[in-house]
Amino acid sequence: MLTNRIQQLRNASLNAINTLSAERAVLMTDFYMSSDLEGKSIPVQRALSFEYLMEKKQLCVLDGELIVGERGPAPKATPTFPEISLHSLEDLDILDSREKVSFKVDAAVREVYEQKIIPFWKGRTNRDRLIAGMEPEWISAYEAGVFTEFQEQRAPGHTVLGKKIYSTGLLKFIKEIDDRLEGLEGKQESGDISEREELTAMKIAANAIIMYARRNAELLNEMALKDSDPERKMELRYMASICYKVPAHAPETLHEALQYYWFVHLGVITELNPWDSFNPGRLDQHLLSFYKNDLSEGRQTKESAIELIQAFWVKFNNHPSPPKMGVTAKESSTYTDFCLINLGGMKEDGSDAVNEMSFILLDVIEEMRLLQPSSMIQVSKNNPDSFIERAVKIVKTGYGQPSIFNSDAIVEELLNQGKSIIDARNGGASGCVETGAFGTEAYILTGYFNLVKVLELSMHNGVDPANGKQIGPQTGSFIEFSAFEDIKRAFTVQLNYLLDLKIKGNRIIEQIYAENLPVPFLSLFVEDCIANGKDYNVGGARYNTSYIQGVGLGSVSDMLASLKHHLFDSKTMGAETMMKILGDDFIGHEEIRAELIYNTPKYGNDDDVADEHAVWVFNQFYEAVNGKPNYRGGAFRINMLPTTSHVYFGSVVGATPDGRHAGLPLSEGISPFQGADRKGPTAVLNSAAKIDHLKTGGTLLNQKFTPDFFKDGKGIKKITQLIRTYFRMMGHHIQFNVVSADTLRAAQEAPENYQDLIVRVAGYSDYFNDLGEELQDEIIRRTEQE
Amino acid sequence: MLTIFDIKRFALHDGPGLRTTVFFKGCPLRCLWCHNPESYEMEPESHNLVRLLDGKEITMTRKYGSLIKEEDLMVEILQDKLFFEESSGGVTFSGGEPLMQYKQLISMLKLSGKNNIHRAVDTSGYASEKLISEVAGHTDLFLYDLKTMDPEMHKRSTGVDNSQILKNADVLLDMGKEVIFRIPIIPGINDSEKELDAYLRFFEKRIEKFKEVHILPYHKIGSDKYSRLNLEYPLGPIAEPKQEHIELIKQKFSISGIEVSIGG
Ligand code: SF4
Repeated sequence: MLTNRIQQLRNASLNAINTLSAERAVLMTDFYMSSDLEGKSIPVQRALSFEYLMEKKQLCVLDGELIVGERGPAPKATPTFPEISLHSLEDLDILDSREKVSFKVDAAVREVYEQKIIPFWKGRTNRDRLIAGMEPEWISAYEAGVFTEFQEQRAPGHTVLGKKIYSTGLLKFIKEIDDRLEGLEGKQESGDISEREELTAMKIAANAIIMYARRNAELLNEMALKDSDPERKMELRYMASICYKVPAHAPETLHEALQYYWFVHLGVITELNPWDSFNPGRLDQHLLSFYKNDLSEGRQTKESAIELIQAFWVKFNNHPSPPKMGVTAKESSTYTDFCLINLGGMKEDGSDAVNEMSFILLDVIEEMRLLQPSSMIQVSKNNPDSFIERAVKIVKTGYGQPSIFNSDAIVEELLNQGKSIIDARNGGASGCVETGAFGTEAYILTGYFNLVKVLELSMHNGVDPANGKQIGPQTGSFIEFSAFEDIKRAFTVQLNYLLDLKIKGNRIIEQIYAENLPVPFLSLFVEDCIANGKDYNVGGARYNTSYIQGVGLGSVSDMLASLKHHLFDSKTMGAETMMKILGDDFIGHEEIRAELIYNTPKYGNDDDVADEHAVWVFNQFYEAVNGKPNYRGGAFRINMLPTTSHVYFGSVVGATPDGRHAGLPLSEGISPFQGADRKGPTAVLNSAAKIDHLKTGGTLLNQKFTPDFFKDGKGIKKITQLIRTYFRMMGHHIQFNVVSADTLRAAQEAPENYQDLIVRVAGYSDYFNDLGEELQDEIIRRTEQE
Repeated sequence: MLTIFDIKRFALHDGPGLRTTVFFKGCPLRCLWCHNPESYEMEPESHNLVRLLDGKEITMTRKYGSLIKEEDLMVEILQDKLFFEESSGGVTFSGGEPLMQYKQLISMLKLSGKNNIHRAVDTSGYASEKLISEVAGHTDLFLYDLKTMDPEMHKRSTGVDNSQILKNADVLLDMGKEVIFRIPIIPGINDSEKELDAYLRFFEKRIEKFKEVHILPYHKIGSDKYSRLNLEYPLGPIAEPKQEHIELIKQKFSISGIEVSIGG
């Protein structure tokens, strides 16, 4: 049961409406307009701007709060980052009025944008620099929907905090910096971005957050004076004392640890708008000793500790991801800012890391039922079944959390990329499924890559059939291809060309960020930025990875399987017929479409005839990307996840040989195309395990289940065994979606997209599609009741 | 070569763990409530199937049954070997009536045994004593149907006599085989007090020799298939048994040491 306090805070968060706050943009503009920046280096300028923000931004303490600090002046008041990209007045109007995830823009915000922010930043944003830096070929591929670009409106981010802050206060960080600076004294420095400037900037940023914490402490004391409730008075004083102590000093209690983390979180997401916000990572590992000490010293009871953690949980939900400009809003229709809490996994010595706190946090997740933070469990061979079963019980409540990850695979992936075993074991997954070494790695996602569009271009001699524009090289006319190998050859050429474009572009973009938007505050917390005297965006971290995320593996594999089967093996039709029916989007060719859907090999059925194409495309993609150097001294790597981009990417691709209509979504992650798997989950998992997950930095697999499967202990055990087996085959991640009655209704409308839906009735299981309508209706009713 | 009509992976109701169930085609019985009418005849057959696509009805043919070589079938079963290992699952041979192709069944059982896979046979028990004991020599677990205890009713509702079936149950138990008895609860056929008492007496006498009973409540899920195959549904429209009644039956059978589960 949630306490009254938590219920109130939770409701306040859920009911708060997204608003666009101009506060940060105004302060940023004031800073650059009024400060004398002559002769100051860019890192120092950025640090001073951060200091300015932390000094001037409005404080916000809500009724009943235990953890303080908001990014904006109120929950869900979301700042903008004009130095990165600038919203036009039209963008503001769209954000204000659009149906999905709108952000309210009041007249004052609009006015200050018109009067001050737009005039100052127009033509001076990082996005302007970035677009100007791209070749025309890059621009056309980008516009055709071959890839997206993450850094175009969001800063490089995707970093997860390690354990350092739980044992070290910022004053110690500053001491470290001072020592380094002393060592530099008198030494000549080379290069245009100097160590001294970087370190000085970091120091300014560290002091800025200490000052911000002190401002909060003062406010809390003032509030305590005014508050008439003696209990709250005490609480506020106590919170003030915490804010005087952290982040300057190391935390000693659970409350201090959480508040310290939260200040760091706020700093990171105020300094810039890094992709996927920021993330405490292995929270059960970090919090356990504080919790135990609090219990043994009588500072907390289990109940009060849970309440405190829940109060911390709400803070994440108060921060939607900063809204994009209208132009690219369609690329992404989600505004949660993916913070993914990791539970379980292994300790540095490889042993079972599941502890009391892992179970407490699972309870918190179940009770809070918030979109943010999101959560996952890491499962290694050494973790107990009871841990997985507990998590599966939450999964069955149908809100998609926690997702389930293979720790053993994560560690292997990190080792393959050259990380030390200790750093690997301190790692995990963030965002959706992305592997990283927590606290030591800058692993930056650069954008989604549309594998299906590449095959479409290969079938059109490099031309985008949507508008006749030449996007890729000329790789031959499709109707003249005499063997399946010709298609593969064309695909390989297109793929390498387009990936090279993307990689080249991202090297330039990384350089633009390194030179113009360093992040001294974030750099404090990622090892070895201080030791190297180098910014996070310049390559100061111990490991520096750039990821490209492949999208549409299942679809592209089915397309290839279909082309091979129909044009070359069974010769059911010629290439011209294929092009004709695709051009017609199957209208008038419904019978052929049925053949393409129902009588053609499909990825996801543990059938090598189909799956070999997925493996082939995956390997081509890997070869084209893996190990290519990035700007920051690290390398490009791949992972396979779409977030929601499979919808956008589908919208730019015409009808495809697997029977998919023009414009419809592509397959998701490494999951089979929606409904293409007809042999049940074990076959899906076997198919998915045919690609080598350990070559990636994460893969995403979604499995649909009707709620019946989770009904009893037996069902939950079987799901657990399914997970164990997939992980033994070194699968990276699996997420269970419990289907709702609405999904079942959709399956009645378009059965071809839901061939995989199995329903379980006591003693029988059957494919939903194979049932008569009356029975389907009954199952829908039953699902609705649950 | 043998004839099967389906292979179901991730089978959840046919024995312990995660299993692959192979459905043999052909059955000597004709249970009124049968939900696998496509298993009656041993010959593969094709039926028209109407599919809804883009708002149009498209007629396609659907094959029921195919001939497959024992080795090829084994390859398919082995695809889920890791899942069997992780869950103490295995393969279940079901049908139709797998004993109808007993030679092939025995070679499948032997092949599975060689590959260290747990083997279950789901049978109506309608076969000679000699045959069933031979099969038993290569089987780890029987899922043994007891459709009704009343000889008259058995004849009427399945088309065959149950005396040999009951005898064969004892043959298996006396061999020390693990047997799970499965009772489909069909309203009006085997759910009367008298009938349930007869089951209970049967179990009580053999209580030392088996541990588990599965109750499978009749579900009209099967009736759809009849219309798809253009067959008349012989049972006609009957109501599914009430949840409370099923619970009562479960309690009744839960005598010392017997584990009763609903739905397998
Ligand atoms: S024994 Fe089984 S397959 Fe044969 S008719 Fe009876 S229910 Fe159907």
